[in-house]
Amino acid sequence: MSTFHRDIEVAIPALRRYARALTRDAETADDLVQDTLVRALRSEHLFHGGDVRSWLYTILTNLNRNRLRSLSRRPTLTPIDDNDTAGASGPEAGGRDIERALALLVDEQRTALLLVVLEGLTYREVAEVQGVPIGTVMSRLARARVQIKTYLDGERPALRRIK
Amino acid sequence: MVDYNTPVTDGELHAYVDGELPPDRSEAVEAWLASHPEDAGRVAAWRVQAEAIRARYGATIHGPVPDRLTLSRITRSQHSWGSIAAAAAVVAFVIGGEVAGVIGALIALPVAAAYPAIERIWLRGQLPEETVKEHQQNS
Repeated sequence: MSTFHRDIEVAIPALRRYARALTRDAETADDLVQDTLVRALRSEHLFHGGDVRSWLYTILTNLNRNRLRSLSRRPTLTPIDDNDTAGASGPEAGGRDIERALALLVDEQRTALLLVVLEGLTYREVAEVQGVPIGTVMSRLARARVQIKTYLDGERPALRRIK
Repeated sequence: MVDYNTPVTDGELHAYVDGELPPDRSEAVEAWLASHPEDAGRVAAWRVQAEAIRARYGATIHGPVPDRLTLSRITRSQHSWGSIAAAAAVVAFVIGGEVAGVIGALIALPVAAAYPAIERIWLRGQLPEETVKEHQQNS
C-alpha cells in the first residue's frame, strides 16, 4: 500500500466524524465519506504533496456544499426527531441542543466551526480548505459562536419548564 | 515582557480558546479576562459549545468503519467498474464495426449490381460507336 493510500486510510474515522456533524445523519454522512474516498482515489494524480488529511477535508467540504445546493433547489424537510421529549431533560438534552444549534447555522460557519473545534484544524488549514483568507475564517467562527450562544441561551428556560 | 496595554481584541479571545494565540499574548489575555467578566463569560460559553460538539460527535471516531468505506473495497469496485467499462467499449466497437459493414454492403451492393448498366450508358456518350460495340462484344 502506498503512503498516499495509507494516509487516506488513517483519516477515514475522522472524516466520518466530521461528516456526521456536518450532516447530522449517519447514513448521509457515510455516503459523503464514500464519495470523498472515490473522488480522492480517482484524482490521485492531482495530489501534489502536502497534507492528505486537509485535502480530504477539502473534498468532503465541497461535496457537502454541492449536496446542500441541490437540496435547496428541491426543498425537502429533514426530520430532526423533535418528538423524543423523553430525553429532553436527560444527559442527551445537551447533545440534541447543540445539534439543533448547528443545524441553524449557515453552511460556511458550521464548516469553519466544526473543522476548528471538532477536527482540530488550525485557522490556516481551515482557510485553505474553505479557500478564503484567515480573517474570513475568524469572522465565520465568531458569527457561528454568537448564533449558537443565542440559541442555547433561549433554549434553557424552555427546558427548565419541561422539568 | 507581557504587554498589558494593547487592548485584547475579539479575534484574540477566539484564538485563545482555539489555542491559536501567540504565546506572548496569552498572559495579557488572561489578565484581561480576570478584569472583564463579560468577556470571560463569552469565552466560557464558547468552551461549553466546543465541549458539547465534541461530546455529541466525538464518539464516531471510535466506531467500526463500515465495510463499504474501506479502501480495499473502494479500489476493488473502481477496478471492476473499470473492467466493465473496458469490456463495454470492446463490445461497442465490434457492434459498431458490424453495423458499419452492413450499411456499407447495403450501399455498395446495388451500386455494384447497377454498374454494367451505368457503364453502358456512360460509354455510349463518351466513345465512338465502334469502340462501344467492340467492348460490348468482348464483355
